[in-house]
Amino acid sequence: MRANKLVAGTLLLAALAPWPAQAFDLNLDLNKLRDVVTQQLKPMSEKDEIQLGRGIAANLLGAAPLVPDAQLQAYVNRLGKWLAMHTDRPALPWHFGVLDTESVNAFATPGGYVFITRGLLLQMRDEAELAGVLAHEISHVVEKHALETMKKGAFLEFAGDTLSQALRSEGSAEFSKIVSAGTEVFARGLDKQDEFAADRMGVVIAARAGYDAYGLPGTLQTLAAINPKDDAVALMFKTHPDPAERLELLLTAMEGKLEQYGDQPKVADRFASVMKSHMARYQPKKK
Amino acid sequence: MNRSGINRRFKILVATVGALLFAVAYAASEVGSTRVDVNVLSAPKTDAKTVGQLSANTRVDIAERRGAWMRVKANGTTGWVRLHQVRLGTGPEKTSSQGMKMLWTAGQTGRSGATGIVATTGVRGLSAEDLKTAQPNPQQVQALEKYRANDASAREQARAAGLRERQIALLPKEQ
Repeated sequence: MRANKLVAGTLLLAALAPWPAQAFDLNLDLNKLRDVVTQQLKPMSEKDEIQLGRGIAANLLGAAPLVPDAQLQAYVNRLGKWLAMHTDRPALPWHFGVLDTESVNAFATPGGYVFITRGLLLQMRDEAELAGVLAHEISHVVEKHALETMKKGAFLEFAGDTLSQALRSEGSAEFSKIVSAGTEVFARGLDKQDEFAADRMGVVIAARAGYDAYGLPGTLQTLAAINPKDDAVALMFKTHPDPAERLELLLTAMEGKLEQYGDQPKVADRFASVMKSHMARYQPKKK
Repeated sequence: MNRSGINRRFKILVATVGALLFAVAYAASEVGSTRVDVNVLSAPKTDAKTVGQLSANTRVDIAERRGAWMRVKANGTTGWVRLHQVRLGTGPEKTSSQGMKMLWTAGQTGRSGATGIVATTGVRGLSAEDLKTAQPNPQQVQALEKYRANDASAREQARAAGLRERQIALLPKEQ
Protein backbone atom coordinates (compact mmCIF):
# COMPACT_ATOMS: atom_id res chain seq x y z
CA MET A 1 0.00 0.00 0.00
CA ARG A 2 2.67 2.47 1.09
CA ALA A 3 5.05 1.23 -1.60
CA ASN A 4 2.26 1.79 -4.12
CA LYS A 5 2.03 5.44 -3.12
CA LEU A 6 5.75 5.86 -3.63
CA VAL A 7 5.52 4.22 -7.04
CA ALA A 8 2.55 6.41 -7.90
CA GLY A 9 4.54 9.48 -6.86
CA THR A 10 7.48 8.50 -9.01
CA LEU A 11 5.24 7.82 -12.01
CA LEU A 12 3.52 11.17 -11.56
CA LEU A 13 6.89 12.88 -11.51
CA ALA A 14 8.02 11.00 -14.63
CA ALA A 15 4.78 11.71 -16.47
CA LEU A 16 4.76 15.43 -15.75
CA ALA A 17 8.49 16.10 -16.06
CA PRO A 18 8.60 16.91 -19.81
CA TRP A 19 6.34 19.96 -19.44
CA PRO A 20 8.45 22.74 -17.96
CA ALA A 21 5.54 25.21 -17.93
CA GLN A 22 3.97 23.18 -15.14
CA ALA A 23 7.17 22.76 -13.19
CA PHE A 24 6.31 25.27 -10.47
CA ASP A 25 2.92 23.76 -9.62
CA LEU A 26 4.36 20.35 -9.99
CA ASN A 27 7.04 21.02 -7.39
CA LEU A 28 4.46 22.10 -4.85
CA ASP A 29 2.36 19.02 -5.43
CA LEU A 30 5.35 16.76 -5.25
CA ASN A 31 6.51 18.34 -2.03
CA LYS A 32 3.15 17.72 -0.50
CA LEU A 33 3.08 14.21 -1.87
CA ARG A 34 6.56 13.56 -0.51
CA ASP A 35 5.51 14.86 2.90
CA VAL A 36 2.43 12.69 3.04
CA VAL A 37 4.39 9.63 1.98
CA THR A 38 7.20 10.39 4.45
CA GLN A 39 4.71 10.91 7.25
CA GLN A 40 3.18 7.52 6.64
CA LEU A 41 6.52 5.73 6.42
CA LYS A 42 8.33 7.50 9.21
CA PRO A 43 7.09 6.81 12.74
CA MET A 44 6.30 9.94 14.73
CA SER A 45 9.09 10.73 17.20
CA GLU A 46 8.34 9.97 20.83
CA LYS A 47 8.72 13.65 21.64
CA ASP A 48 6.04 14.57 19.09
CA GLU A 49 3.82 11.73 20.28
CA ILE A 50 3.95 13.04 23.86
CA GLN A 51 3.27 16.64 22.73
CA LEU A 52 0.25 15.44 20.76
CA GLY A 53 -1.02 13.27 23.62
CA ARG A 54 -0.61 16.10 26.10
CA GLY A 55 -2.59 18.42 23.82
CA ILE A 56 -5.41 15.90 23.48
CA ALA A 57 -5.33 15.31 27.25
CA ALA A 58 -5.82 19.06 27.76
CA ASN A 59 -8.91 18.87 25.54
CA LEU A 60 -10.32 15.83 27.35
CA LEU A 61 -9.80 17.69 30.64
CA GLY A 62 -11.61 20.63 29.08
CA ALA A 63 -14.59 18.35 28.45
CA ALA A 64 -14.49 16.74 31.92
CA PRO A 65 -12.21 17.91 34.77
CA LEU A 66 -10.38 15.71 37.27
CA VAL A 67 -12.18 14.53 40.38
CA PRO A 68 -10.95 16.99 43.07
CA ASP A 69 -9.60 14.24 45.33
CA ALA A 70 -5.79 14.24 45.56
CA GLN A 71 -5.63 10.97 47.50
CA LEU A 72 -7.74 9.11 44.94
CA GLN A 73 -5.75 10.56 42.02
CA ALA A 74 -2.41 9.66 43.64
CA TYR A 75 -3.61 6.11 44.35
CA VAL A 76 -4.68 5.61 40.73
CA ASN A 77 -1.35 7.07 39.51
CA ARG A 78 0.71 4.69 41.63
CA LEU A 79 -1.38 1.75 40.42
CA GLY A 80 -1.21 2.84 36.78
CA LYS A 81 2.54 3.43 36.94
CA TRP A 82 3.06 -0.03 38.46
CA LEU A 83 1.18 -1.56 35.52
CA ALA A 84 3.08 0.54 32.95
CA MET A 85 6.36 -0.70 34.45
CA HIS A 86 5.37 -4.14 33.14
CA THR A 87 5.13 -3.10 29.48
CA ASP A 88 7.59 -2.39 26.66
CA ARG A 89 7.27 1.38 27.23
CA PRO A 90 7.93 1.82 30.97
CA ALA A 91 9.82 5.11 30.52
CA LEU A 92 7.02 7.16 28.94
CA PRO A 93 5.83 10.04 31.16
CA TRP A 94 2.76 8.09 32.32
CA HIS A 95 -0.11 10.15 33.74
CA PHE A 96 -3.39 8.81 35.10
CA GLY A 97 -6.51 10.75 35.93
CA VAL A 98 -10.03 10.09 37.22
CA LEU A 99 -12.47 12.33 35.33
CA ASP A 100 -15.35 13.89 37.23
CA THR A 101 -18.23 12.60 35.16
CA GLU A 102 -20.90 9.98 35.76
CA SER A 103 -20.40 8.66 32.23
CA VAL A 104 -18.88 5.19 32.13
CA ASN A 105 -15.74 5.31 29.98
CA ALA A 106 -11.95 5.30 29.77
CA PHE A 107 -9.49 6.89 27.34
CA ALA A 108 -5.78 6.83 26.56
CA THR A 109 -4.09 9.48 24.46
CA PRO A 110 -0.69 8.97 22.78
CA GLY A 111 2.35 9.42 24.97
CA GLY A 112 0.82 7.85 28.09
CA TYR A 113 -2.12 9.99 29.29
CA VAL A 114 -4.71 7.57 30.67
CA PHE A 115 -8.15 8.57 31.94
CA ILE A 116 -10.94 6.66 33.61
CA THR A 117 -14.27 8.23 34.51
CA ARG A 118 -15.58 8.28 38.05
CA GLY A 119 -18.74 6.63 36.68
CA LEU A 120 -16.71 3.60 35.62
CA LEU A 121 -14.72 3.52 38.87
CA LEU A 122 -18.01 3.31 40.82
CA GLN A 123 -18.86 0.12 38.90
CA MET A 124 -15.80 -1.81 40.08
CA ARG A 125 -15.53 -4.50 42.72
CA ASP A 126 -11.81 -4.46 43.49
CA GLU A 127 -8.36 -3.21 42.56
CA ALA A 128 -7.82 -6.08 40.09
CA GLU A 129 -10.75 -4.72 38.04
CA LEU A 130 -9.29 -1.21 38.08
CA ALA A 131 -5.91 -2.68 37.12
CA GLY A 132 -7.54 -4.58 34.24
CA VAL A 133 -9.20 -1.47 32.81
CA LEU A 134 -6.10 0.72 33.22
CA ALA A 135 -3.97 -2.03 31.62
CA HIS A 136 -6.39 -2.12 28.65
CA GLU A 137 -5.87 1.63 28.18
CA ILE A 138 -2.10 1.33 28.70
CA SER A 139 -2.07 -1.29 25.93
CA HIS A 140 -3.62 1.22 23.50
CA VAL A 141 -0.69 3.55 24.25
CA VAL A 142 1.99 0.84 24.05
CA GLU A 143 0.60 -0.35 20.70
CA LYS A 144 -0.01 3.24 19.46
CA HIS A 145 -3.59 2.41 18.42
CA ALA A 146 -4.94 5.97 18.65
CA LEU A 147 -1.87 7.41 16.91
CA GLU A 148 -2.20 4.99 13.99
CA THR A 149 -5.92 5.74 13.73
CA MET A 150 -5.16 9.48 13.59
CA LYS A 151 -2.49 8.99 10.91
CA LYS A 152 -4.93 7.02 8.76
CA GLY A 153 -7.62 9.68 8.95
CA ALA A 154 -7.49 12.83 11.03
CA PHE A 155 -3.92 13.81 10.07
CA LEU A 156 -4.01 13.10 6.36
CA GLU A 157 -4.44 16.78 5.55
CA PHE A 158 -1.30 17.67 7.48
CA ALA A 159 1.94 17.02 5.66
CA GLY A 160 4.67 15.28 7.67
CA ASP A 161 6.89 18.26 8.36
CA THR A 162 3.94 20.54 9.06
CA LEU A 163 2.65 18.06 11.61
CA SER A 164 5.96 17.85 13.41
CA GLN A 165 6.55 21.62 13.34
CA ALA A 166 3.04 22.39 14.56
CA LEU A 167 3.36 19.95 17.45
CA ARG A 168 6.41 21.89 18.60
CA SER A 169 4.57 25.19 18.67
CA GLU A 170 1.98 24.67 21.39
CA GLY A 171 -0.66 27.36 21.39
CA SER A 172 -0.43 28.01 17.64
CA ALA A 173 -3.52 27.71 15.47
CA GLU A 174 -2.00 24.73 13.66
CA PHE A 175 -1.34 22.97 16.97
CA SER A 176 -4.97 23.45 18.06
CA LYS A 177 -6.21 22.19 14.71
CA ILE A 178 -4.14 19.01 14.93
CA VAL A 179 -5.07 18.39 18.56
CA SER A 180 -8.79 18.92 17.80
CA ALA A 181 -8.55 16.43 14.96
CA GLY A 182 -6.82 14.02 17.35
CA THR A 183 -9.48 14.52 20.04
CA GLU A 184 -12.24 13.67 17.58
CA VAL A 185 -10.86 10.16 17.26
CA PHE A 186 -12.10 9.58 20.81
CA ALA A 187 -15.60 10.60 19.80
CA ARG A 188 -15.55 8.09 16.93
CA GLY A 189 -13.63 5.25 18.54
CA LEU A 190 -10.79 3.00 17.51
CA ASP A 191 -10.86 -0.04 15.29
CA LYS A 192 -12.76 -2.97 16.81
CA GLN A 193 -9.70 -5.17 16.41
CA ASP A 194 -7.62 -2.67 18.41
CA GLU A 195 -10.10 -3.01 21.28
CA PHE A 196 -9.88 -6.81 21.27
CA ALA A 197 -6.06 -6.58 21.07
CA ALA A 198 -5.96 -4.18 24.05
CA ASP A 199 -8.16 -6.60 26.02
CA ARG A 200 -5.75 -9.47 25.32
CA MET A 201 -2.68 -7.40 26.23
CA GLY A 202 -4.34 -5.74 29.23
CA VAL A 203 -5.02 -9.00 31.08
CA VAL A 204 -1.37 -10.05 30.64
CA ILE A 205 -0.07 -6.71 31.97
CA ALA A 206 -2.36 -6.94 35.02
CA ALA A 207 -1.23 -10.53 35.70
CA ARG A 208 2.46 -9.57 35.27
CA ALA A 209 1.93 -6.86 37.87
CA GLY A 210 0.63 -9.53 40.25
CA TYR A 211 -3.16 -9.06 40.00
CA ASP A 212 -5.88 -11.63 39.43
CA ALA A 213 -5.91 -11.74 35.61
CA TYR A 214 -9.72 -11.78 35.56
CA GLY A 215 -10.27 -8.19 36.70
CA LEU A 216 -10.95 -6.89 33.19
CA PRO A 217 -13.36 -9.76 32.40
CA GLY A 218 -15.16 -8.93 35.67
CA THR A 219 -15.72 -5.33 34.59
CA LEU A 220 -16.75 -6.40 31.07
CA GLN A 221 -19.38 -8.62 32.68
CA THR A 222 -20.65 -5.63 34.67
CA LEU A 223 -20.77 -3.45 31.53
CA ALA A 224 -22.64 -6.17 29.66
CA ALA A 225 -25.48 -5.86 32.19
CA ILE A 226 -25.98 -2.12 31.66
CA ASN A 227 -28.77 -1.10 29.35
CA PRO A 228 -27.06 0.39 26.26
CA LYS A 229 -29.83 3.02 26.14
CA ASP A 230 -28.61 4.51 29.42
CA ASP A 231 -27.07 7.95 28.74
CA ALA A 232 -24.12 7.13 30.98
CA VAL A 233 -22.86 4.46 28.59
CA ALA A 234 -23.89 6.02 25.26
CA LEU A 235 -20.41 7.13 24.17
CA MET A 236 -18.69 3.97 25.38
CA PHE A 237 -21.16 1.69 23.59
CA LYS A 238 -20.85 3.80 20.44
CA THR A 239 -17.06 3.59 20.42
CA HIS A 240 -16.49 0.02 21.65
CA PRO A 241 -17.60 -3.46 20.61
CA ASP A 242 -20.37 -5.09 22.67
CA PRO A 243 -18.93 -5.95 26.13
CA ALA A 244 -20.54 -9.42 26.10
CA GLU A 245 -18.74 -10.18 22.83
CA ARG A 246 -15.47 -8.81 24.25
CA LEU A 247 -15.91 -10.96 27.36
CA GLU A 248 -16.42 -14.17 25.38
CA LEU A 249 -13.49 -13.53 23.03
CA LEU A 250 -11.22 -12.58 25.91
CA LEU A 251 -12.09 -15.61 28.06
CA THR A 252 -11.46 -17.87 25.06
CA ALA A 253 -8.07 -16.23 24.45
CA MET A 254 -7.14 -16.61 28.14
CA GLU A 255 -8.14 -20.27 28.30
CA GLY A 256 -5.20 -22.56 29.01
CA LYS A 257 -2.81 -19.59 29.16
CA LEU A 258 -3.78 -17.28 32.01
CA GLU A 259 -6.05 -19.43 34.16
CA GLN A 260 -3.26 -20.12 36.64
CA TYR A 261 -3.15 -16.35 37.33
CA GLY A 262 -6.81 -16.31 38.34
CA ASP A 263 -5.98 -16.81 42.00
CA GLN A 264 -3.59 -13.83 42.32
CA PRO A 265 -4.75 -11.05 44.67
CA LYS A 266 -7.86 -8.99 43.83
CA VAL A 267 -6.94 -6.46 46.52
CA ALA A 268 -10.59 -5.90 47.41
CA ASP A 269 -10.06 -4.55 50.95
CA ARG A 270 -7.74 -1.69 50.04
CA PHE A 271 -9.96 -0.77 47.10
CA ALA A 272 -13.01 -0.71 49.39
CA SER A 273 -11.23 1.51 51.86
CA VAL A 274 -10.05 3.93 49.12
CA MET A 275 -13.57 4.10 47.70
CA LYS A 276 -15.22 4.62 51.09
CA SER A 277 -12.85 7.50 51.89
CA HIS A 278 -13.47 8.97 48.47
CA MET A 279 -17.26 8.73 48.82
CA ALA A 280 -17.06 10.46 52.20
CA ARG A 281 -14.99 13.34 50.76
CA TYR A 282 -16.71 13.72 47.42
CA GLN A 283 -18.73 16.83 46.76
CA PRO A 284 -20.58 16.78 43.45
CA LYS A 285 -19.54 19.77 41.41
CA LYS A 286 -22.17 22.46 41.10
CA LYS A 287 -23.04 23.16 37.52
CA MET B 1 -20.73 -10.99 88.04
CA ASN B 2 -21.18 -7.29 88.46
CA ARG B 3 -23.36 -5.04 86.39
CA SER B 4 -20.54 -3.45 84.35
CA GLY B 5 -19.30 -6.94 83.38
CA ILE B 6 -22.72 -7.86 82.01
CA ASN B 7 -22.87 -4.55 80.21
CA ARG B 8 -19.49 -5.16 78.64
CA ARG B 9 -20.45 -8.66 77.53
CA PHE B 10 -23.68 -7.33 76.06
CA LYS B 11 -21.77 -4.67 74.16
CA ILE B 12 -19.34 -7.26 72.79
CA LEU B 13 -22.29 -9.44 71.73
CA VAL B 14 -23.97 -6.52 69.95
CA ALA B 15 -20.71 -5.60 68.24
CA THR B 16 -20.16 -9.21 67.12
CA VAL B 17 -23.68 -9.61 65.75
CA GLY B 18 -23.34 -6.24 64.04
CA ALA B 19 -20.05 -7.24 62.44
CA LEU B 20 -21.55 -10.54 61.27
CA LEU B 21 -24.57 -8.82 59.76
CA PHE B 22 -22.28 -6.36 57.98
CA ALA B 23 -20.12 -9.22 56.67
CA VAL B 24 -23.20 -11.05 55.35
CA ALA B 25 -24.62 -7.93 53.72
CA TYR B 26 -21.23 -7.15 52.22
CA ALA B 27 -20.67 -10.62 50.75
CA ALA B 28 -24.16 -11.62 49.58
CA SER B 29 -24.56 -8.84 47.14
CA GLU B 30 -24.90 -9.99 43.58
CA VAL B 31 -27.50 -11.87 41.62
CA GLY B 32 -27.41 -13.02 38.04
CA SER B 33 -29.20 -15.15 35.46
CA THR B 34 -27.85 -18.01 33.39
CA ARG B 35 -27.42 -17.00 29.75
CA VAL B 36 -27.53 -20.59 28.48
CA ASP B 37 -28.17 -24.08 29.85
CA VAL B 38 -25.21 -24.75 32.14
CA ASN B 39 -23.63 -27.63 33.99
CA VAL B 40 -22.80 -26.71 37.57
CA LEU B 41 -19.42 -28.15 38.59
CA SER B 42 -18.04 -29.24 41.96
CA ALA B 43 -14.83 -27.19 41.54
CA PRO B 44 -13.61 -24.27 39.37
CA LYS B 45 -12.03 -26.60 36.79
CA THR B 46 -13.33 -27.80 33.43
CA ASP B 47 -12.72 -31.46 34.37
CA ALA B 48 -14.55 -31.20 37.71
CA LYS B 49 -17.58 -33.37 38.46
CA THR B 50 -21.01 -32.05 37.40
CA VAL B 51 -23.19 -31.54 40.47
CA GLY B 52 -26.26 -30.11 38.79
CA GLN B 53 -27.78 -28.43 35.78
CA LEU B 54 -29.48 -25.09 35.36
CA SER B 55 -31.56 -24.15 32.36
CA ALA B 56 -31.14 -20.79 30.67
CA ASN B 57 -32.60 -17.75 32.46
CA THR B 58 -32.41 -19.28 35.93
CA ARG B 59 -31.85 -16.74 38.69
CA VAL B 60 -28.63 -17.43 40.61
CA ASP B 61 -27.06 -15.94 43.72
CA ILE B 62 -23.38 -15.24 43.18
CA ALA B 63 -21.49 -16.35 46.27
CA GLU B 64 -17.90 -16.00 45.10
CA ARG B 65 -15.76 -15.03 42.11
CA ARG B 66 -12.52 -16.82 41.40
CA GLY B 67 -10.66 -16.21 38.14
CA ALA B 68 -12.81 -17.30 35.19
CA TRP B 69 -15.35 -18.88 37.54
CA MET B 70 -18.13 -17.97 39.90
CA ARG B 71 -19.68 -20.06 42.64
CA VAL B 72 -23.45 -19.79 42.35
CA LYS B 73 -26.46 -20.98 44.31
CA ALA B 74 -29.74 -21.77 42.61
CA ASN B 75 -32.62 -24.20 43.09
CA GLY B 76 -30.81 -25.94 45.93
CA THR B 77 -27.67 -26.48 43.86
CA THR B 78 -24.35 -24.88 44.73
CA GLY B 79 -21.35 -25.07 42.45
CA TRP B 80 -19.10 -23.45 39.88
CA VAL B 81 -19.95 -22.00 36.48
CA ARG B 82 -17.91 -19.92 34.01
CA LEU B 83 -18.06 -16.12 34.12
CA HIS B 84 -19.57 -15.71 30.65
CA GLN B 85 -22.38 -18.21 31.35
CA VAL B 86 -24.02 -15.72 33.71
CA ARG B 87 -25.24 -12.21 33.08
CA LEU B 88 -25.57 -9.93 36.05
CA GLY B 89 -28.99 -8.80 37.23
CA THR B 90 -32.28 -10.56 36.73
CA GLY B 91 -33.64 -8.86 33.63
CA PRO B 92 -33.56 -10.30 30.14
CA GLU B 93 -30.35 -9.81 28.18
CA LYS B 94 -29.57 -6.17 27.32
CA THR B 95 -33.14 -5.02 27.73
CA SER B 96 -32.95 -4.34 31.42
CA SER B 97 -34.94 -1.26 32.23
CA GLN B 98 -33.45 -1.12 35.71
CA GLY B 99 -30.78 1.26 34.55
CA MET B 100 -27.27 1.35 35.84
CA LYS B 101 -26.53 0.30 39.38
CA MET B 102 -23.81 2.13 41.22
CA LEU B 103 -21.77 -0.29 43.27
CA TRP B 104 -20.52 2.50 45.52
CA THR B 105 -22.80 5.06 47.05
CA ALA B 106 -22.23 7.87 49.52
CA GLY B 107 -24.64 6.77 52.21
CA GLN B 108 -23.25 3.26 52.48
CA THR B 109 -20.29 1.71 54.17
CA GLY B 110 -19.54 -0.71 51.38
CA ARG B 111 -20.59 -1.96 48.01
CA SER B 112 -24.32 -1.56 47.69
CA GLY B 113 -24.84 -4.46 45.29
CA ALA B 114 -28.40 -5.29 44.37
CA THR B 115 -29.86 -2.67 46.68
CA GLY B 116 -27.84 0.14 45.12
CA ILE B 117 -29.29 3.34 43.82
CA VAL B 118 -30.31 3.32 40.23
CA ALA B 119 -28.83 6.01 38.08
CA THR B 120 -31.39 7.65 35.90
CA THR B 121 -30.76 8.79 32.38
CA GLY B 122 -29.76 12.40 31.90
CA VAL B 123 -26.72 12.23 34.16
CA ARG B 124 -24.03 14.84 33.82
CA GLY B 125 -22.13 12.98 31.16
CA LEU B 126 -19.44 13.12 28.55
CA SER B 127 -20.83 12.87 25.02
CA ALA B 128 -19.24 12.62 21.59
CA GLU B 129 -20.33 16.21 21.03
CA ASP B 130 -18.50 17.32 24.21
CA LEU B 131 -15.29 15.83 22.81
CA LYS B 132 -15.72 17.39 19.37
CA THR B 133 -16.17 20.86 20.84
CA ALA B 134 -13.70 20.50 23.73
CA GLN B 135 -11.40 23.41 24.51
CA PRO B 136 -8.04 22.81 26.25
CA ASN B 137 -7.83 23.26 30.01
CA PRO B 138 -4.15 23.94 30.88
CA GLN B 139 -4.82 24.30 34.64
CA GLN B 140 -6.19 20.76 34.72
CA VAL B 141 -3.10 19.49 32.89
CA GLN B 142 -0.97 21.07 35.63
CA ALA B 143 -3.10 19.34 38.27
CA LEU B 144 -2.60 16.07 36.42
CA GLU B 145 1.20 16.59 36.46
CA LYS B 146 1.08 17.02 40.22
CA TYR B 147 -0.40 13.56 40.78
CA ARG B 148 2.25 11.68 38.79
CA ALA B 149 3.82 8.72 40.58
CA ASN B 150 7.44 7.64 40.46
CA ASP B 151 8.68 4.04 40.25
CA ALA B 152 9.46 3.84 43.96
CA SER B 153 5.99 4.90 45.15
CA ALA B 154 4.35 2.60 42.60
CA ARG B 155 6.48 -0.32 43.78
CA GLU B 156 5.73 0.46 47.42
CA GLN B 157 1.97 0.50 46.87
CA ALA B 158 2.19 -2.85 45.06
CA ARG B 159 4.34 -4.36 47.79
CA ALA B 160 1.89 -3.24 50.49
CA ALA B 161 -0.84 -5.29 48.81
CA GLY B 162 1.40 -8.35 48.50
CA LEU B 163 1.51 -8.24 44.69
CA ARG B 164 4.20 -10.42 43.15
CA GLU B 165 5.61 -9.73 39.68
CA ARG B 166 5.46 -12.50 37.06
CA GLN B 167 7.07 -13.11 33.71
CA ILE B 168 4.17 -13.83 31.35
CA ALA B 169 4.23 -13.93 27.55
CA LEU B 170 1.69 -11.85 25.63
CA LEU B 171 -1.27 -13.73 24.16
CA PRO B 172 -1.12 -14.42 20.40
CA LYS B 173 -2.11 -11.43 18.24
CA GLU B 174 -4.99 -13.20 16.55
CA GLN B 175 -7.38 -15.92 17.62
